[in-house]
Amino acid sequence: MTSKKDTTAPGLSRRRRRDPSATGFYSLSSQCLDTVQEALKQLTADSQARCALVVDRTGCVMASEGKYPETMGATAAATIAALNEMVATASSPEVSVRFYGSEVDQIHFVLLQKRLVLCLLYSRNVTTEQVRSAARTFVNAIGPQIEQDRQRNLEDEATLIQSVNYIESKLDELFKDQLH
Amino acid sequence: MPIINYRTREINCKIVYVGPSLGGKTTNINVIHGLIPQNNRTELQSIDTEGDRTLFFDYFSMDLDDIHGFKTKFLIYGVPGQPYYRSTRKMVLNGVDGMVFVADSDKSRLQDNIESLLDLKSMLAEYGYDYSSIPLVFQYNKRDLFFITPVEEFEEVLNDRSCRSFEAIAIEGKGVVQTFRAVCAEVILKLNETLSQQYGSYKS
Repeated sequence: MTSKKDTTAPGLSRRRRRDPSATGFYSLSSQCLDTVQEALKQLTADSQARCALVVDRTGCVMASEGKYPETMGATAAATIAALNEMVATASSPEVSVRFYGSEVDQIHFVLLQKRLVLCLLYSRNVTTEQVRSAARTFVNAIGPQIEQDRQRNLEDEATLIQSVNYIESKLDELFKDQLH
Repeated sequence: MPIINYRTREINCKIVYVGPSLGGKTTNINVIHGLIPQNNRTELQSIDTEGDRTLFFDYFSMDLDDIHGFKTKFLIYGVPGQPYYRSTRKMVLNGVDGMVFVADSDKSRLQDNIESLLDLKSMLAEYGYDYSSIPLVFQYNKRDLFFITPVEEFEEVLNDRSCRSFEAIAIEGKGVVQTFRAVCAEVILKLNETLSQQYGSYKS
């Protein structure tokens, strides 16, 4: 732990603060995620992106629309982290990756909330401005809702705890041939 | 910290394999991946160099079937061990829920193991994470070598938290699943404790 500086403002800046989330868990309510899902649908329609994902910085996909490679959550989070290491992008909440001279998809990232990133894949036929504009609308609408959602308590905690109590037996079942 | 997704009803836990270079992290991940039924896991993604050394990370996720309405997903990562790749290693540690430290039992590599663990502690501290509270399991790999560090010595110089530890020959698949099962158990125990502290116990 080196810096106590507040880095809650949007921006793909380097982060060196104590992360209070290092203990406990992180969750969003189903109501909030329903809203995110609806907005992602609208976003892909407006931007004509092939897919749009909301990815946690640890690599976990929180919500998605459209088809995407199954390991994209991990690689998107890693890309964002790697870009942060390469260049000082403080106060810049958006990054576009363009490939020239080929037909591969273009990539656009927007910081949605301090631990969430919006990631879009779109074809060369769509302009970056079109994607950026739709993404901005999404972030402005959804960002505050996610922030607000973090203030509420867990839902359905009894079921959740019961489920957690049985995870170990599921693991034993999965590896029964190796463990016994 | 685990991520709970109420829409997809998933509990996501991130497990990272750490340790010195060429200690067997990727071998562990390959073995586990190979043992999990295809419909319970994603493809294994490796971002590596032309010489097959891990450059960024090895990654796959494992799904456990529905339990009381929730699915559990373990996101499993391996990091590059070489000192040169410290920054990429640190990125992968972001949000870690549990760690496996794969130590190389080759006697000549004891110092590499010690330095790797010190580096791990320092990276966690830079994130503001408390090393002593993150679930951790040690694996003393390559026990088939001739000149090896005795387990007692490993326990003394590495295992300062008295974590669970396992001897392994990962290349033969020995000790791999036991190690993985143990780290998953530690992560679940921690999650359970956190939930119980906040919401009481609902054990049936």
